[in-house]
Amino acid sequence: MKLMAIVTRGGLAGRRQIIASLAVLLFSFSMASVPASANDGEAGKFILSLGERAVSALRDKENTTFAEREFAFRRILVEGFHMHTIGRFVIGRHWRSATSAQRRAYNDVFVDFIVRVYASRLDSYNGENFGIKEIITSVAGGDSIVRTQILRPSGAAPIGVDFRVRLIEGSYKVVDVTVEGISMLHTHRVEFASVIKRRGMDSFLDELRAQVAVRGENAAN
Amino acid sequence: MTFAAASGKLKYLGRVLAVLVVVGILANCSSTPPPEDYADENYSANDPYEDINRVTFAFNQTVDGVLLKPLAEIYVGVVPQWGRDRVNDILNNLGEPGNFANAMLQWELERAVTSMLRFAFNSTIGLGGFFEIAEDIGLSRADEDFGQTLAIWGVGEGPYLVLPLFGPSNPRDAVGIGVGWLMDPFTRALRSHERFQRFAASGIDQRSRHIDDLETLEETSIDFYSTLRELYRQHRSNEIRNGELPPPLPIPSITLEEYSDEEFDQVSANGQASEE
Repeated sequence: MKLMAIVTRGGLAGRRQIIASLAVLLFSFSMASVPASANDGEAGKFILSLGERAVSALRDKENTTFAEREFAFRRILVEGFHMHTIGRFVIGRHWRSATSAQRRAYNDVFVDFIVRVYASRLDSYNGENFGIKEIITSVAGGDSIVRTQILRPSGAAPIGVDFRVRLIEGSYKVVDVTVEGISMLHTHRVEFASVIKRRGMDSFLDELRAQVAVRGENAAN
Repeated sequence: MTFAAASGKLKYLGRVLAVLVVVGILANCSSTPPPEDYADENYSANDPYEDINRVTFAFNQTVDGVLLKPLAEIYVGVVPQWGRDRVNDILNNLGEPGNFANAMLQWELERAVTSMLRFAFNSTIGLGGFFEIAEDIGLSRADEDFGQTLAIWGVGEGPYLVLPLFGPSNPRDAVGIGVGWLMDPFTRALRSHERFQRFAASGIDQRSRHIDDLETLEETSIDFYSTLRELYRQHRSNEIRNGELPPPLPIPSITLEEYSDEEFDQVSANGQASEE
């Protein structure tokens, strides 16, 4: 009987509130206190507009080809991210032992590689909602860390994405993205180091180029 | 309760206690602070058994390719999303006692209470865990396992290990899997074929939710082994931190350095790069 009463919609909603307030009263812990809206920080605004651009570029699957979405994504990446800092950090100390020809080859292919990889990885997301959770400023030598959440349909847990933003020559640039605690820079750095250590710098550069070429073929289809 | 059952319970308790004592001893001697030198890739990867691990990894990939992934694909093809959500909810609900126990062991009281309430609501109003209703009243799932508990107690992760069938791990998490299995009341409550069913169901459930992700990840990685290793390690440390921000990476400022890089290029164009 009781079960019947709470299964009806109104009953369940009312019940939820009672249960929720009871839970809070009984256990006076502050449960999941997430700030409701975005803070008004400049870094936060920058990430919000960057995120909205990315969402609108990736959302429209029916009227755009992968190549077009990738092109839009490249513009967002090149304008919003400091690719020079990222590329240099990711190759780490192997930069210093590379010949100048290898360095040039690396600089030529790196942005293409990142664009290809992330355009592919992000292409399965269908423009889910994007909201800023909190902005933490002045962490690590003046960088800001903007914590955002990508909300997903069907009640799946939101994905936490943190952007590390640095003020470089008067404009904000992203220098690292962390998805659920997984840093893209750190991951690539270790991946690159592993390939360079096992197969050498030239094979590593070949791998990057091959990845760009393969992805390019897929994009043409 | 019969005498046999009682002594069985005591034995079980004794075994858990023994493990806890061993772990306590481990905790005191094996937690070393990570070295500061970020540039050292051995610290970053922490993978001294890489050659063996890569063999095990290849084995796991094969098993995945011929067995687990096809099963997951059939599962996705046959069972609609609604049914798969129910399976996932039931399996998650069975995990709540473990979450509660480990949250207590970590003295994370808020999370422990959350797990307890979730289990209570989902098992009753949620019809035996069939429906996830706790999420709707603000009780979000907080996964805690014994590997995380060990980390909180100060046990270092140890070298990276790829376990056959279980995949990416390390000594701390391998012990965590074993102790977690012993701690879990459902291990005792279920009969052996039910335990196997639960194990198989959770494997297929987990795999079915990452079919496309993992495929894209493999295609876009230049070294899938090291990508997964890094994802596993950072994912675990994120779980241990309960999603708090990690210490920031030392990303240097490059704009001033550009000039010296140019100069360095000029020099090394003539001579040899002399590092290492």
